[in-house]
Amino acid sequence: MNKFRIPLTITLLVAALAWIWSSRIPVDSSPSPLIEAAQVGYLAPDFKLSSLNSQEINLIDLNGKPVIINFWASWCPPCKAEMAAFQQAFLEYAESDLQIIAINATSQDSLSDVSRFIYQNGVTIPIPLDQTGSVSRAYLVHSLPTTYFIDKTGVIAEIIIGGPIPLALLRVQANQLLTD
Amino acid sequence: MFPVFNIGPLSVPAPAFILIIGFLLGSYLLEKKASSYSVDSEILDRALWIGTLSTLLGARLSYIAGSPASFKGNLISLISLNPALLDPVAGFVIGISAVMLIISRQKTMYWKFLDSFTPFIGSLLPAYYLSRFASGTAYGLPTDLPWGIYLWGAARHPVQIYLTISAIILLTIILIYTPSRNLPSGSTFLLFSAASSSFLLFFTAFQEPTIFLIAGIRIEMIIFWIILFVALFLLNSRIQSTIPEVNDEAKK
Repeated sequence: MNKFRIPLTITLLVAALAWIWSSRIPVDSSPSPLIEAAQVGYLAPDFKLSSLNSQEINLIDLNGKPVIINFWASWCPPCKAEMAAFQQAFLEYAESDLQIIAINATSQDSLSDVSRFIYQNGVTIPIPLDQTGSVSRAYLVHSLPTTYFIDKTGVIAEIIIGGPIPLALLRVQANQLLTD
Repeated sequence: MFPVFNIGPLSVPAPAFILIIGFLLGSYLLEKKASSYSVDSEILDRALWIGTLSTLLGARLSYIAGSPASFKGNLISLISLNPALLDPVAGFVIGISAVMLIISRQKTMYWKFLDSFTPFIGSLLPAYYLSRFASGTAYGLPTDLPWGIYLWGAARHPVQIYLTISAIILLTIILIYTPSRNLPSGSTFLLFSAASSSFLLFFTAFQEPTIFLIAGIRIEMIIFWIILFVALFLLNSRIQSTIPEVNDEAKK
């Protein structure tokens, strides 16, 4: 067996190199996020929703600006716990291009509870209402809270499932989105 | 994709859950198989836990060091349970360094130690691949094969499933394999490293590319090839260096 050891090793290494070479990707076929999907590296699915104050929010209107989208509900403890951090970030980055919106999963929530929570906690972030659940489905929201970080080109840069998200993490992500 | 397990009111992120299961299984196997490699299981246990704590602490400290201004006026974030506030690469390096420090202090034989740690790594790897499948990351290239998984607008190679199956096969071999007396210490670890990097190198070709090197060659594949080369080189060197010892013992 010993006399075959070195030739076997060399054969394996050469075969591996041949595999690397044969499986190379043509340079002109760089991955392009042409389709919408709730996945890092893909275009964020577009949506048009009305907010609590009847203002219409359309994602495509925010094109060219980084966006943080938080999905939440008033019955969800971690959602409520992290809302203060989102509100603080919203105020801190008000002068920048960064947009923060908190989509309420209204199909699983009650409008009166949402209004009460927002009023009691002084939340001024735009709150689009996903009354049919279609946006939550498009974003594959299986758990609340879920937060999407979308860059200036409309591509999803990061997804964080669960919470509460601390303010420091929001600041790090926001700064990255603004500098990229 | 199974990002969360909804157990009653609890939403448990599936990737983290799978990794914890892999870790627990690994630590159990580490202790169980320690005697096969003639290593004190207490030292292994201590190294594992100190390594784990160092990894977590190092990952958090490194993340903070990367953007200290973000924590200004918000010190509570320092102890947040959110795993997104971790720097995994730095944590890994710090954890490994801590483990190496323990080995040198205990004067345990370096190669034997690595051998005895192989079942732990062997059970962590399938958990890691499966957790990536659960989180929907590192998906494959489009395929016409019947087992392709429809994801992001196309039927795709379930690369993480390929890797999980290969890692489970390797783990099974480790569990039923008894280290040969004719092989030098370190062989189990080096063979495992060579096999794992070979599988990774092979299956990465079916993965949606993320980073390119010159001429479209994936950088990950080059890294796996280097690991394969180093593992085989060290294995051959160790076998070569022990042949005279084995022959001497045979003469006696």
